[in-house]
Amino acid sequence: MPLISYREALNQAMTEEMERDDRVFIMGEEVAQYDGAYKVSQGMLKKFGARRVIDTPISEEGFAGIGIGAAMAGLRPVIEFMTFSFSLVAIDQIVNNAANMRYMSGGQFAVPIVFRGSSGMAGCLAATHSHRLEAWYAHIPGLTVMMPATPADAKGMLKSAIRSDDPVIFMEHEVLYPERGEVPAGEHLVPIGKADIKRPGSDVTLITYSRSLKTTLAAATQLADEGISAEVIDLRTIRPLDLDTLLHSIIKTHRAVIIEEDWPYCGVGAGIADRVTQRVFDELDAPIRRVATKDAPVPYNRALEDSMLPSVPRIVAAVHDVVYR
Amino acid sequence: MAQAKTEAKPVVNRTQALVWLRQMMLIRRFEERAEMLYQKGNKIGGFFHQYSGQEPVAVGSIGVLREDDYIITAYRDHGHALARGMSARAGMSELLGKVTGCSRGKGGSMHFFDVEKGFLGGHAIVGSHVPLATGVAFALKYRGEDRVCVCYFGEGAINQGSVHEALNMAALWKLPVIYIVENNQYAMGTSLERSTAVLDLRLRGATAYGIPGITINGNDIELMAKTTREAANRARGGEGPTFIEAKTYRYKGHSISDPGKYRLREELDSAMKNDPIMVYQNVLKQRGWIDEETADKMRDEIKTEVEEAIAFAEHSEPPSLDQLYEDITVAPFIPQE
Amino acid sequence: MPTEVTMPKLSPTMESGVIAQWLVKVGDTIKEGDVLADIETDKATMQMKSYDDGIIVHIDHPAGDEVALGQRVMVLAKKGEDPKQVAAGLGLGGGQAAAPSKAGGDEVKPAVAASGSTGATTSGNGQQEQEVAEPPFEAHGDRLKASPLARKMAESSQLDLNRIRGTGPGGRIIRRDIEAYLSGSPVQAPAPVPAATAAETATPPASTPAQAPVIRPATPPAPAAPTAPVARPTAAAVPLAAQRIPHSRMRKTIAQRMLQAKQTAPEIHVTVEIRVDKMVAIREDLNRQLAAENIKLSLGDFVTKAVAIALRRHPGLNASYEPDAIVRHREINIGIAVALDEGLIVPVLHRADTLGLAEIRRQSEALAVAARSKQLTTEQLTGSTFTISNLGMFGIHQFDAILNLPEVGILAVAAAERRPVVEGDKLVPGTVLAVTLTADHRAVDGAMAADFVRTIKRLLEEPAMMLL
Repeated sequence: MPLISYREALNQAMTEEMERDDRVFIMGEEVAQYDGAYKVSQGMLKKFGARRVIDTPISEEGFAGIGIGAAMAGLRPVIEFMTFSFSLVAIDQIVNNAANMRYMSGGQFAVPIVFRGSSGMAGCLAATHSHRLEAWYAHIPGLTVMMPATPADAKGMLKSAIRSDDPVIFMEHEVLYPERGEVPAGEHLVPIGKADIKRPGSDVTLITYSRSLKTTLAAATQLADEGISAEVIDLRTIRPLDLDTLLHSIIKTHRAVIIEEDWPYCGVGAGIADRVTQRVFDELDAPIRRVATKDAPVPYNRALEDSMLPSVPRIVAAVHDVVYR
Repeated sequence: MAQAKTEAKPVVNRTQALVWLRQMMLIRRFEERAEMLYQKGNKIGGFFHQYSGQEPVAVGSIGVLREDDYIITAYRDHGHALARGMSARAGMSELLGKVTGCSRGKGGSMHFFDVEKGFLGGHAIVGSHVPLATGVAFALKYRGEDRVCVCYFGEGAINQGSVHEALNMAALWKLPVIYIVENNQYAMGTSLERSTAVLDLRLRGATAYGIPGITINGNDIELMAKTTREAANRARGGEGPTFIEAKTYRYKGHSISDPGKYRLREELDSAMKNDPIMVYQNVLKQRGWIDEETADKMRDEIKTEVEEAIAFAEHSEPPSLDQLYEDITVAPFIPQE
Repeated sequence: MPTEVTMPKLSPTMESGVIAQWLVKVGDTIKEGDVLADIETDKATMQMKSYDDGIIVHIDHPAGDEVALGQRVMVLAKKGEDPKQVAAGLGLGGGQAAAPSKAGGDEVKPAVAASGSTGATTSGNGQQEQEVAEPPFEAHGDRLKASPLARKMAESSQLDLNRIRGTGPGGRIIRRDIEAYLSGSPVQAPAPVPAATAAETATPPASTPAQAPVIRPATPPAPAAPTAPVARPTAAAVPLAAQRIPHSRMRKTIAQRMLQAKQTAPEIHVTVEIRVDKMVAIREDLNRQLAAENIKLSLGDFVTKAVAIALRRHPGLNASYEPDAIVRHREINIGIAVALDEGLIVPVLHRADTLGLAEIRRQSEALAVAARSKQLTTEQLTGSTFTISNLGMFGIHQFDAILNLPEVGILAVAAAERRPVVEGDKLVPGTVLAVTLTADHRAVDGAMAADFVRTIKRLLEEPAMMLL
């Protein structure tokens, strides 16, 4: 299998889908002539022309809404936010229009659209450019939220997202763009709503997604040295949650730790812990623990920023708590 | 008696004119009776914004569109839906929250939809649908079609950022969209003077983006029709958007709970003296296209039609409770509970 | 009919409106669109308009009254109606706007009280809030702490958690503590054994959880699948605490009545076996036809029907034994014993002899539902003249029931069984149902009892007889 980067995998996904379906186009700031702020759409203008690879003014709310309108009229837009931090000025369009359209029209209008772009704490970007908004969007019935952690998933998940008939929030991680991995060439689809066991284990279930998968796998390796066998589950889709995969793991390990790059309060992990507890309370031998980003705005200073993030020592300590060692 | 005057020469034939008169009467009666069901029967809930007084704007402009064109509007949407041919039954049932409603009881007064008629809905966040209209026009151009999208919004929306972002991109990309600002003088209770630094809306919505802008008397239905037709021709010819400010006046409060204390009684009375439906009826009378008897008969028919729609709505089933989870997504929806 | 004008909904949230001023008076002629009054809503003062034409004959509330949404505020005589007659019809003598709060004061729909009782509740609230103040967050120190999994394991092994020492944080009993206890190397020695070691030695590597974990469906919670108690040699040594269940009122009543029956009534039992193949066929046929109505007849319904008919023919069984007389009842009211978790209850099918099969099913079902939700009325619980107890659903071959005094008979209905039966000289498969009559010999002699069950047998073997 070819070894390519997360960035190239995303590019491949969009290119293949645009070749397959003329209704698919990409629109956003600097996606065309500049070749993408993070080079995800590199070469696409040359390949597809200005009709299908469209630079926009800096008007996130406007072009988010234009994408939704185009989707209502039958196209399948891929709208790039340079970063999801900027989606905050477009959130009315996403939440009120994209998510609700099908429902409030009584099923008459679908919105097959993908909002994609980088997300997360990429280092020294300070408070406004480091947002993790997955919990905000996962809160909304009507939206699908996907966050790939590996190049192969990036490709397979984006292709599925573009083919979805519903609005998809597709959050990439800036830090992962250069990560390389084996990616199947050609048709490769990862189903929406399916988590992936990235490392099997029997003593504790570690639940994570996106960039935190790397940290979590590193922690699992260290735990193995201590004789603790950790099962690592990559959620991949945040909404709808693949609860079955989580439950089957937890009834085996009886313990769970959730690792997320988002703030803890009202975060994705809180929702997962609630749903797991409702279903398999009697299988738990310890409270579900969460390792999340510390509850402060994101500072510029790198050391401060690093101290906030889920880290191998923080994950290992949480695992020790739940396995009582 | 309402003055029979119009600024435009006839732009339609008799048959079309009578259809328009009838549509205006239908919208008026539909809302009169819906208001009764709201206030007296407690059968309609939530927000309920009436279009009374503004009928010529929707009827005149929609009246010159093709069947394959698109229409989108804000929350004061009953008039546009009926003008586009939605049945009184479907509208009334929606107001009563029934499954036979145009949005299956999930939208209500502010969210009428009709995919068959290219009616892209009533939308309730001020200005939020203007980018949607622009996106629909984008899709039309993308596919190389000569269809247009007409987007209605109130003058209050001109102060909303999303509107300006959309106007800019529509002009930049020469999209086939017609923006019709229904200037009924009040954004809820705030008059234009109290909310808008530059009162000439064309300067803000058209000139600023190099879009042709026209201000007209929106209550002159045939002028409304003529102006819209010209704008549609430009759009179909690839010349891009048009901005039309249609001056009009709403008779009712912003919504059902608005007593209208911010305006003088005389202002409303004088507007109602020139009720655009009566004005148009008199125009048609002068042309010899209708007489009093025919007009009365038309009103009676409409009354019957609306009463029949009410009966239909009242006898319709409400959505079953398990429909709560229906039509959230195209894919099977999994409640995250 | 005159038109009643009610308080309109003038804002999405209003529940009542205050009549700020009336703009019309009794005797005025009004038409659709006229403004009748100014109404203060929760949002603003709004105009109340008329949707009708007519002459005002009565106004219910003076200005200042608060009126709930939908309540009548005035009455109009329609075109063609005589206002005086309409007013007279109201029994109010054409009241004035000022008077009505007295005239109509004792009607069912008084003006919404602006103060009064509401005020009283409010003043009471302060105390209540103090009483329901949140309990302190910290749990009692002596409360037994155990992880959910440990509790589940203890329950299925019938362990008393009080006997197990927890080695988790704050003394929490966790899985390894249960496993250690069961393996006989408890971690409860005074000097705490390093927990990890205990767990490792005690835990067989793979096959630990003895019962299949149950994932609860999201909604509604399904009852946990019964798990077979696991026999563990070590568990046998543990003394098992018995469970003490104080008598409920129902239990006391059952005990007293059963004892009384056994002590006072000399019972006789007669059993008869009934071939029910025809009945089974008819039932299937009927159920196909009744499927649309969502009715599903049971064999028990046929038995009820047959008993009701048999009682009509054998009035001696539809009777009570009293010290000085036997009372034969005219009404045939059949008690149907219903088993509940907490005991037994006997709702009554009144006049069962007048009911068709479908009606018997409908009413029996309604009674059973009411019994389970504890909603039976006194009428539904009294007046039975004969009782049927049916344990067929448990596959019972035959049983005797105890009399429901003062009734003189009770019929015990077992399960219909497929079994070989002798037909002529041949052995053929057939469906057989055993019923046993328990009768009070003080009132019912053996032959009477036998005759009665023979009638039931005939009716059920030839169900067409029930049509006669």
